[in-house]
Amino acid sequence: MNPFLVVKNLTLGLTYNRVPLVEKVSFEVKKGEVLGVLGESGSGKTLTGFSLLRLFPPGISYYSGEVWIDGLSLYSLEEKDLFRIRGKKIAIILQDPLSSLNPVLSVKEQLEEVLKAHRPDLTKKERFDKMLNLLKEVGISDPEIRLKSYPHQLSGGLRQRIMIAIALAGDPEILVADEPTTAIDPTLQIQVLNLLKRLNRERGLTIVFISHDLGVIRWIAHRVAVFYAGEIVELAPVERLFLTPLHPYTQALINSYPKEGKFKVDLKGGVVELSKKPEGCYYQLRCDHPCDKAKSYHPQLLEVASQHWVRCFRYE
Amino acid sequence: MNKPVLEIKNIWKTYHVKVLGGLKSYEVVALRGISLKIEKGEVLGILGESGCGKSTLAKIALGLETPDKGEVFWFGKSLKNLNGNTYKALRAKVQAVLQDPYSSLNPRYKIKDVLLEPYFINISPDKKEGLSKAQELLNQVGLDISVLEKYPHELSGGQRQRVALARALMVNPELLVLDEPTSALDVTIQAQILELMKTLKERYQLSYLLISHSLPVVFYLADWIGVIYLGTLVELCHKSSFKRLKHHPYTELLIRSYLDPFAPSQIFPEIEVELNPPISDGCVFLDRCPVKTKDCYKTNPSLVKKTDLQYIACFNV
Ligand SMILES: Nc1ncnc2c1ncn2[C@@H]1O[C@H](COP(=O)(O)OP(=O)(O)OP(=O)(O)O)[C@@H](O)[C@H]1O
Ligand SMILES: Nc1ncnc2c1ncn2[C@@H]1O[C@H](COP(=O)(O)OP(=O)(O)O)[C@@H](O)[C@H]1O
Ligand code: SF4
Ligand code: SF4
Ligand SMILES: [Mg+2]
Ligand SMILES: [Mg+2]
Repeated sequence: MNPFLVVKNLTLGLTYNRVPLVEKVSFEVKKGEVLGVLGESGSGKTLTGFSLLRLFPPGISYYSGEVWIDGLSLYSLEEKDLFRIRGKKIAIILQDPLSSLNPVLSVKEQLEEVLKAHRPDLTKKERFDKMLNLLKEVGISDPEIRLKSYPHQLSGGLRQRIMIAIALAGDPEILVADEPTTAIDPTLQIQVLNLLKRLNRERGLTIVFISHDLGVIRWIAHRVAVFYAGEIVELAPVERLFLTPLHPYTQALINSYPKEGKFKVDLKGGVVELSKKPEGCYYQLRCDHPCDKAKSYHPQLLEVASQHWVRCFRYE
Repeated sequence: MNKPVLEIKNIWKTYHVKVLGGLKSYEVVALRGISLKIEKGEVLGILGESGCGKSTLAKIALGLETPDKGEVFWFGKSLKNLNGNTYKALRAKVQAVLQDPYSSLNPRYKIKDVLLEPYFINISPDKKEGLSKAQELLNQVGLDISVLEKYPHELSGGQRQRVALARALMVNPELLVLDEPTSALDVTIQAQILELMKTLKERYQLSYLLISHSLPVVFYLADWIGVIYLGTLVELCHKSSFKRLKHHPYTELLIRSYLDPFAPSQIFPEIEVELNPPISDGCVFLDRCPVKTKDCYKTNPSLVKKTDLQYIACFNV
């Protein structure tokens, strides 16, 4: 089967001085697959997520590379044709539902707005039914009452469900979820994750799931991409990645996770400054056993075992 | 006996939030009658979901917000009737390290000035002594003294969080209020900071009020673990017996919901509970409680001592 989402050498960065923040990122996601994205703060996960919808925060622009969604080349489309993809093929949900929902509009008004844009063909009655169905689909048992609510009247878990309902309004086939459960408590997190899992199973919804939380990624993802300093440094099926991490950064990430109330400390600290990346391997300054080649050469992402890709000279 | 480093008694706090340019407003009850205390050398870890009132509690403990009702005591003295000089002396003993290490450091100050400012105000105007103290502390938090000449934006998140710790220590505090001190950090750096906080606590006999939504973080540092749900302290339990005791229904749910990345995949939890916002007069946890009974609809249970090591607010535990 052809991959549903193909990202090829995607590069983007600061507009004013052309410093790349996300560099030559390539990966593929099959229909119905959940790709987990791990990586440290500032490594480019969110920027990559947004760029899958051809969206950029102020000051950031696209440099080069391709994104193919279901056979359509996102960056070859005319600006005016983007509406055919955004919200319909691919949608995004974010960390903080309170700041993405409009506080002065009811749930009904917000859903209505989105539905009018995506489905102008629906009559008023059809639209109302669709709204009720969407809320039921995200597990809200009393949709009529919830439609009248305002965001601040809802619990964190309900708000996140409303966000997901809004994202699903255009019947997208792929969902980018950027830390959608970081702001809610673990008990609500489980429910939102269960919901996404169900949508993945029942609707065949393809998901790109960004998170810091190893537990969450282990639980929801089929395959995982690990970002470091704007690049993918490792890509593998989830079990493999957790059991036999290969890249020194992934190993540090997994080893420093608390086990039985203890943390193993990886002493070489410090986030890499994306505008001052070293020559050669970007991880060399934090690497536990840096190799000689790392000073002058940049490692490539290579498939070193079946489906297991890593960017490190140790495995070449 | 020594007085508790921090004691807060029956604190209530409501925010009035205006929307639609002030035409409409609604109330958010952030804290509902919370009481707790921290003894010297002790760490109280507070767990709770986002928006449950944790940061409000931190601000009130720091004296940065005034409660609507209730009282805060530092070293046995009520903040209500402190005179200016006593307040200033005690203020230095109670320091904060907050979530975002970037916004809590003045971007126009070099690290040198970030560290010296509180020292000049609270300890002494002697620059030489101040600098030598700053160097000693940077050394202890694992930073090179060359950072003294840098600006906050030139440091990484983990380095900035170390500077924030060093700054708090410049004035010889006895209590640190830590509001999500590691949640903005990568897990590899988080582990370093937690380790450091443990060492510093032992070295200086510090007390911490540690706020976090991460069970492993709280478990690593705390002596006592408090759980807040919608502005109410629903449980307080000593770490030594946390694993073997039965807990408040919300705590139980929190424990079961923790996703352990190293557990075999078949034992990941399937949890389904009702999802309603709070509206009732009864127990704050009523709508989501899997074991509620008739009594729970009438009043909100208060925190009751079960043993020397555990307090719970629930009619049915
Ligand atoms: N609008 C912007 N202007 C300038 N730099 C930016 C902007 N947005 C992001 N960056 C920079 O781009 C890099 C990648 O940011 P991104 O938000 O993608 O990180 P992330 O991996 O999602 O991190 P986190 O885990 O903290 O959310 C960071 O160095 C960040 O400082
Ligand atoms: N200055 C403020 N104005 C209005 N509402 C506030 C303010 N600060 C906090 N709140 C509200 O009070 C509640 C508790 O907030 P907070 O203590 O920040 O929660 P936490 O730290 O547990 O995430 C939230 O609903 C929040 O939106
Ligand atoms: S390429 Fe060399 S320096 Fe870079 S991560 Fe691998 S071993 Fe370390
Ligand atoms: S008092 Fe009742 S509703 Fe509240 S937590 Fe206990 S059993 Fe549940
Ligand atoms: Mg991000
Ligand atoms: Mg907070």
